[in-house]
This record gives sequence, C-alpha cells and structure tokens, in this order.
Amino acid sequence: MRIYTSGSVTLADTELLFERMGPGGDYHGERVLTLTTKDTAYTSEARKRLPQLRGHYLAMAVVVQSAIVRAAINLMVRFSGEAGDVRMFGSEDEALAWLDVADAG
Amino acid sequence: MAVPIEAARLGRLLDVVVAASQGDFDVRLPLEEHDDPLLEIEVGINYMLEELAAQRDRNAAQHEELRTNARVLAEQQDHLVAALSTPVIEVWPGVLALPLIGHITDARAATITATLLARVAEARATHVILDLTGVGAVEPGTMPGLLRMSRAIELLGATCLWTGVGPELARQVIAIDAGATPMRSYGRLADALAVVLAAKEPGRRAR
Repeated sequence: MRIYTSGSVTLADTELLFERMGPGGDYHGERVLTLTTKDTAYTSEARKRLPQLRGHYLAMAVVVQSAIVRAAINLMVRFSGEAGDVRMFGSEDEALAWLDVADAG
Repeated sequence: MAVPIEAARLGRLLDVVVAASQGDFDVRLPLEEHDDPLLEIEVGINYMLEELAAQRDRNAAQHEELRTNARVLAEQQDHLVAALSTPVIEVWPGVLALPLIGHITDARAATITATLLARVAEARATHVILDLTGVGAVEPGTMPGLLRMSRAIELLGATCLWTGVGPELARQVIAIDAGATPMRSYGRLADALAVVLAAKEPGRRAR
C-alpha cells in the first residue's frame, strides 16, 4: 500500500486510512510505503489517532524530506510505543528495499 | 553524543516555556529544518502548547455553558417562587382565593398585585378572598400597596374580602387608612366563602 501525504493531515484522512488498513480492510496487515512532502503537518486529532494504526500493518516505511516532519512522526511513533515496524528514510528506493526485507522476514 | 545547539534556539525555547508557565499557551516555537534531537523537543513543545490551548478553550466553553445553565435555572427558580408565593385558587366559579403565607415585602406585594389583578380580569371574578391567616408580618411600608390592590380589585368589578387579619395587621391598616377604604373582613376563609356563596346563590344562607 502506498500513501501520499501533503498539507494538513486531518482526523477524516486518518479515519479513511483506518477503513483501508483496519480489520476487514483491503490493506489490513500489508506493507505500507508513506511518502510525505515538506509541508506535511498533522492536526491534533490526527496525531492522537494515527498511533492506533500500529498492529494493522506488517511494516511501514516513511519517506521524509523534512526534519520537522520526521520529528512529528517520531513523536507519534513514541506515542504508540515500540517503533520496530516503522522506519523513516530519505529516499523511496531505500524505503522499498527495507520493505522487501520486512516481507521476506 | 554531544550535539552543538545554538544559544539563540535555546533562548527561544526557554522564552516559550516561561510564557507557557505564565498561562500563555498561544506562543509557538519557530521551527527550522535542523536535523537534530532538539527539533523533536521543539515540535513536542509546540504540540503540548496546542493541546493546552485547546483544553483552555474547551474549559472556557464549558464554563460559559455552566453560567448560562445557572442563569436559566435561576430564572426558572424565580418563576417558580413567584408562582408558589401567589397561589391564586378559583374556589368557585368567579370566586378567587389567595391564601398568603410568610413575610410580605414590597417586591412580593408587587408580584401579588400583578398576578391577582391579571387573574381577576382573566377569570372575570366577582369575588376575591385575600386570606392573611398565614402571614407573619407585613413590612410597614407595604400595607398601603395591599390596600391599593384591594381598591384596584373593586375597580375591576370584583368584591375583595379579607380574612385572617390578626391584631398586628389590623393596627397597621388602621394606622394607615383609618376608615378611608371600606374593608370587608372575616375571621376565617370559610366565613368569607359562605358569605360569597350566599351572595351568588341567594337560596344559600351564610352561617
């Protein structure tokens, strides 16, 4: 599953993600590649909801182009506890390579 | 691992922490693309401030809602107290009785007058029995108001009968209005009612 995020990520966006990735969703338990733009920001509601995605995917690779976005995602990962299944990368190729390994594992 | 941090950045961070500790949750740290651990702290502080500001706004909204509810309750209570302090009863078609209890102040007398006159007009009452048996005291300045109410009832075409006037109230009436206003006064409400019914139904005798 490939997710593109830019601008403000809201609770509505997050709920849409839960529909696809939650139990019964088409992408439940899959590998996820998230591509973020520099202007990506998360609303307060989205920040609280997104960490609950943990357990609904096999592995999530996030491509970040901004240190601020990375810091924001790092904080959300901290909210969710263990961060083993989420990894951040500077390029899409690195991210895909890691996801391939995750699939093999 | 030591991370070199600009003094200016730390200064801004401290300024924001100080402002927040004084209750200003609208301040935010300016974020720049520094790829270091302090950036995560800066972002975290901004998130925390955002949450505090949102909680403050929610509290203010709840406080306002509580104040509105309290105001509505107070108004309802006032209406209820006014209604209970002026229990006008239609004891017979065209006959209203108002048993008064407690202390009568100027404000209460004004409420009683307004309520009673409206009911007299509405019910096309022929008689009004004002029972003062349960009245402990009437403020000295209030008695003229009650006497004026009695006259106003007569002007509306109804007869006003007073019952249960005790010695103290009687002295007050005489002191104010010795003989100027004809008052029909009876010892008990039952006596006044018997007189009224006899007047309305000539076949019935008052005891």
